Amino acid sequence: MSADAGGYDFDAIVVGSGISGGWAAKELTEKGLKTLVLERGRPLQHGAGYLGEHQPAWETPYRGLPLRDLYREEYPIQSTSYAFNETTRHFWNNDAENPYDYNPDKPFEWLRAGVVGGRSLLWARQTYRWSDLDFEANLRDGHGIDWPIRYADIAPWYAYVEKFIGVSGQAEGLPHLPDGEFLAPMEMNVLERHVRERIEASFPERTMTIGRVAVLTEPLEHSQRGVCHYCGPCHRGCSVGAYFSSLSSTLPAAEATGNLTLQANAVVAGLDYDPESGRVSGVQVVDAETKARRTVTARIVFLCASALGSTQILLNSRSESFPNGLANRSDALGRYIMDHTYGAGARGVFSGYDAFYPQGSRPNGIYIPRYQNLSDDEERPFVRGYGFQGGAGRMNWQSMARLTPGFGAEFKESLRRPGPWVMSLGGFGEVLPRAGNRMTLHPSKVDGYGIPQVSFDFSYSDNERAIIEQIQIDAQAMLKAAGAVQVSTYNAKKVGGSAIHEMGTARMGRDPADSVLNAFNQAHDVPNLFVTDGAAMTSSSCVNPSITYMALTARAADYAVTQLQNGKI
Amino acid sequence: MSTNRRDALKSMGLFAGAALSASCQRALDSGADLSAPPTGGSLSEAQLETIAQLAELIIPETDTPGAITAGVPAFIHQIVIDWYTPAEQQIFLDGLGEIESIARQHWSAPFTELDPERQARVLSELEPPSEGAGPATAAVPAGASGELPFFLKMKELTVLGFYTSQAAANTEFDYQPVPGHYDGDARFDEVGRQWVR
Repeated sequence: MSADAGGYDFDAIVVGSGISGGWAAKELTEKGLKTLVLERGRPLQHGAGYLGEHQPAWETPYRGLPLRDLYREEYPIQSTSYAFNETTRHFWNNDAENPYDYNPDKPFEWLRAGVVGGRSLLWARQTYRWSDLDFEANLRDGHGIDWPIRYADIAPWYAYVEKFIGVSGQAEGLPHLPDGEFLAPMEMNVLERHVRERIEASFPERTMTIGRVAVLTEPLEHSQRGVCHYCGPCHRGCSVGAYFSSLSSTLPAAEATGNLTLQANAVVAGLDYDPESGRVSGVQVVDAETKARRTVTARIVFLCASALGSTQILLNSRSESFPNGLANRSDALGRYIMDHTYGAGARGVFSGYDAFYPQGSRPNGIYIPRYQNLSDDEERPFVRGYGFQGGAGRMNWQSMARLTPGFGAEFKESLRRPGPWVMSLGGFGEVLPRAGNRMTLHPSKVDGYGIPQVSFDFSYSDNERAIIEQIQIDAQAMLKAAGAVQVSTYNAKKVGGSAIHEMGTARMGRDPADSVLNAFNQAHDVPNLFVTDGAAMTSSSCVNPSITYMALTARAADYAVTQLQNGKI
Repeated sequence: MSTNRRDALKSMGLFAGAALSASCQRALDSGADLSAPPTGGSLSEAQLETIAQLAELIIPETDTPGAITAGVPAFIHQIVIDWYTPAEQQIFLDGLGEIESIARQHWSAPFTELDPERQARVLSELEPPSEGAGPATAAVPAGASGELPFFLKMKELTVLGFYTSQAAANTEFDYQPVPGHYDGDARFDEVGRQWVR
């Protein structure tokens, strides 16, 4: 297969180099397609670009205090993330340069990277398979449309992805949280093991396991990536590649084929549609530095620009054939935004373990899989459910200094020992797909590239509010059952987007009348167009979504190449 | 000096009479130099010396280095000049003036000429009463910024500057940028130091 033969610039164009785009690039290039990856962010080199990696505190500007004026003016949204600081700011999107709009009564946080590799550099690496509890959810309770796939369709692709990226975890045999191809699990610390025993004794239907995480605990056969050295903040970048990112893993694999062309600072404004062939005929690119415009062509296009980014591109690809956005015959495009509820849970202080002080910084926590509504006969004030992430550790000098009155030698001496053990449990709740939760293009506001700004209108429903309440009640009950001497709940009242699991704006479905994509992430109405990032999601589950994007992408790439070879695209 | 502060000092018995005498007022005013705004992007020598001695009072040299050896005064200077908002800077500088006023009022000497025991008594006067917040309290207020009083600002900056310093990393802590392993059952006494990266 050669790009020249058909008069195309490339065989395939992939928009985005993050967790989905990296996978599309790897799969398509390995199958022999000359592939162009367009990344709107700045160039970034694996290793050399990780400016904050292992940076000691005394070399960090203002010892890590936020640069308040700069953050307020240029990073008001991005700086809300726990992973945003002066050791990582060079990975993030600049809000001032990439503005968006939202209903002022319904704030929405769009957290984005601004470099090659995208959010695969910054993600929390939690990696959980979906099950049929998730794929059948919409059908069972009637919220949203039925997924066009089931667990059996994606299970082999989960395994395929896990073997390549490396996932550390403990098999638990739970039907609703399927086990995967796991590397050795990370270890729970002494208090976490105690809490697990007490929770499982008090609540037999609940399981606590070590987090399943895309971090190498042992070498991978096929890879030169190094194993974790437990320094802690993966999001600063890891030059040995211990955690999975596009830069450490998929992009090098794509590069090794000789079929990859990667262009940074390449902002995709829209796609051209040719009504005669019924195909995408070109990709409009704006150079982020010069603002020059050009059009590139390929046989197939994979949108992997993130749920909101890919949908923005489609909404901005209007033609006589598709006046409301490309592939949007259904009017589903831009609707059904989902995220996960985030920022609510409980913390408990524990006594009796003060002799223990874990060594090293484990880039992972514990996981309590969903245990609610596993069958249809539970009587609860909400549908779907939630899982918990958390962990136990000792309070550090900074917290203890604020809690300790006085000053002087005694004060200094008191800070020498670590503070009390604290265990936290934070819930991630499933969000229902609702048509009114949507993004549109603003009628007049444009960004610095002349592209219409996205405008969000998103809010939680009573179902999510009920889940957020129950998360706090359950977290408190579990910590009390585990013997915490002091427990407090918290609810940070996070807004949409803040869990950075946004999805659902170009959903998959069986019927072109109510969905954008088919069972292979192919646009119902445009056969050479695929969307394989979070936009494709038909429901949200309550587990972290990234591995599902990766598996869907690999599966879609396999399908697309087969279709190309059979002359069907 | 704020009215509240004066009232607080009165209630602590620092001032004998209900009304301040003229000489007392003059003594209070003599702290004004320590409250002066920075000139040419720098605090005065007297201000810097007071900051250094306050920092050393909060984190003194013991079997490990103190705040001055760890470079804390220069860090605080940078924060006050570059990082603070005008309102935060004002609270901080007013606090320095107040320290000086109390020193002169009590012992008719600049704060920097008092012995550490007397300096500690002066600084203690500015410590707000402990609110007894438990460790599980969701948000412990960060004292370095915002409207929190001078004492909390000075203490937070000293603590931050000291415990993030290279000197503290190599003495107060077990500095391991690349630990290489995780041991969830390690015992504190086997290391005897908190771990930092």
